Amino acid sequence: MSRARVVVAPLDPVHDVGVKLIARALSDRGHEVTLLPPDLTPEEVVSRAVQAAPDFVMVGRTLSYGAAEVLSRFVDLSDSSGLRKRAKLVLGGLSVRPEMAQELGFDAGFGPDTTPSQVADYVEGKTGTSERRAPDKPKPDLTSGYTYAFRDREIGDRCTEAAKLLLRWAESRTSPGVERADLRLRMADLSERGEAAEAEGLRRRYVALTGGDVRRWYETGVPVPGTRPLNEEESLDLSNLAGKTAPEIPASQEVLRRWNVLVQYGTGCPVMDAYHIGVSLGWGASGVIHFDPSWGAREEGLLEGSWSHQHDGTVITLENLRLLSSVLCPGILWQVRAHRGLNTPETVALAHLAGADLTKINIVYGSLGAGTDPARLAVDGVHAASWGAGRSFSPCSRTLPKPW
Amino acid sequence: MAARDKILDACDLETFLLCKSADEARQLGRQLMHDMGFRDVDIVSCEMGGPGARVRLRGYVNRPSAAYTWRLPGGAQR
Repeated sequence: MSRARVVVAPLDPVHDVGVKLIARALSDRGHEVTLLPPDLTPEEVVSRAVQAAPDFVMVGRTLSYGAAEVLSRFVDLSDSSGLRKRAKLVLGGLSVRPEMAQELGFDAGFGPDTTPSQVADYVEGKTGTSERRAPDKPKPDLTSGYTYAFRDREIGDRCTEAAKLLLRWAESRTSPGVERADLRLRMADLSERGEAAEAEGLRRRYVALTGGDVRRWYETGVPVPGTRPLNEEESLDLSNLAGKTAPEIPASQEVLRRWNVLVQYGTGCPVMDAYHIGVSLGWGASGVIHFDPSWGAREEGLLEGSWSHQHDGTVITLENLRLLSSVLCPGILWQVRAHRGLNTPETVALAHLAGADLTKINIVYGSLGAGTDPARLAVDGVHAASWGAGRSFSPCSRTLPKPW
Repeated sequence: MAARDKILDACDLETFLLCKSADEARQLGRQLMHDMGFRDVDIVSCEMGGPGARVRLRGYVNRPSAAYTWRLPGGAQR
């Protein structure tokens, strides 16, 4: 369908929300739209429409006293002015039915269940409706259009100098969190190559760097309070859900296609999360964000295996992340937030290994009110950010030019 | 299987209760949810205004990590 010329008018004293939605949908599809204001007479609408020489004239009207007379007059004027010869007349409104529109002399009528995209489909001569369809757009590039440029040169110079100082200070320092992240990556690499014995050796070094309840689990098998292993049936549930969460977005949520709305999940249970993810994507979300328990930031080290958690936050393990990744469909953004106190670098490592698109590092998060040593968080944050920038968090993590 | 057992996680109910205080509204809200068969109830919000309070009540059927009712035989699992 080539570009259509459409005049859209609320043939009504005040109600123009519906026609504005229609006008926007048509503009979004590249059509040339003339949107008239409310409270014009049929004569004025026809007069302006004749000047615009449109392919379609769409009027919206609530049904009230005199509506039939106004609409009939509009059709009569369209006929007598010659407008009808080149333009199709379309009526829409909350009380409109297609049959009613035809009786009044319109070429088509759209009622309260109509979506803007259905109207656009009509203009483009498409049959059927587009009420439901899976998103076919690629993952958006969230960094597109952004730079590190500062509006104020002096502030920019000072920020850059502060960043350089931080980098110089942190690059020669390390922490248990940085070392564990490195071990995680090396263990994953060895496991992939089938070198189990070497991986086990690194795992022992890893355990020595853990603490609290996490270390107790590694050493004794006693679960962290509030957690339990995911059972076989639950794992099966998740594998059954894989590929079934491809969203069919209700047309009423189509407005979300214009924005990148990311929804947080993290009920504690990956199975419940999978359903929540499916619901979120089905309502038009562009992506989801993994939230883990607060204790995941306070304990040195992360667990292994698939876990359910009875309280807020779904435990970060490579296995849990991979299970959840399996229920995401193509085109959906997935963020694993990584400003996780003592486990920031390791979370970035696991997010990368699980195939996350995005992560999030906030160096000071956890130090201001939460009591974690700010120096430690700075070392972890710098290493995590530097390391993450060099790894693939694709495709939306296009490496930005460094300001230093 | 009851329809309630097919609720994914929780059922929210929002209403206006005629009462004299927020405490009374919370008590009435819990009573209402219990009367409807919800045993695990949260008061999500409670705001006094005029002759009573607008309350939002949440009745949990399945908390995360529980034995989900929809996984039982005859449940709504896909």
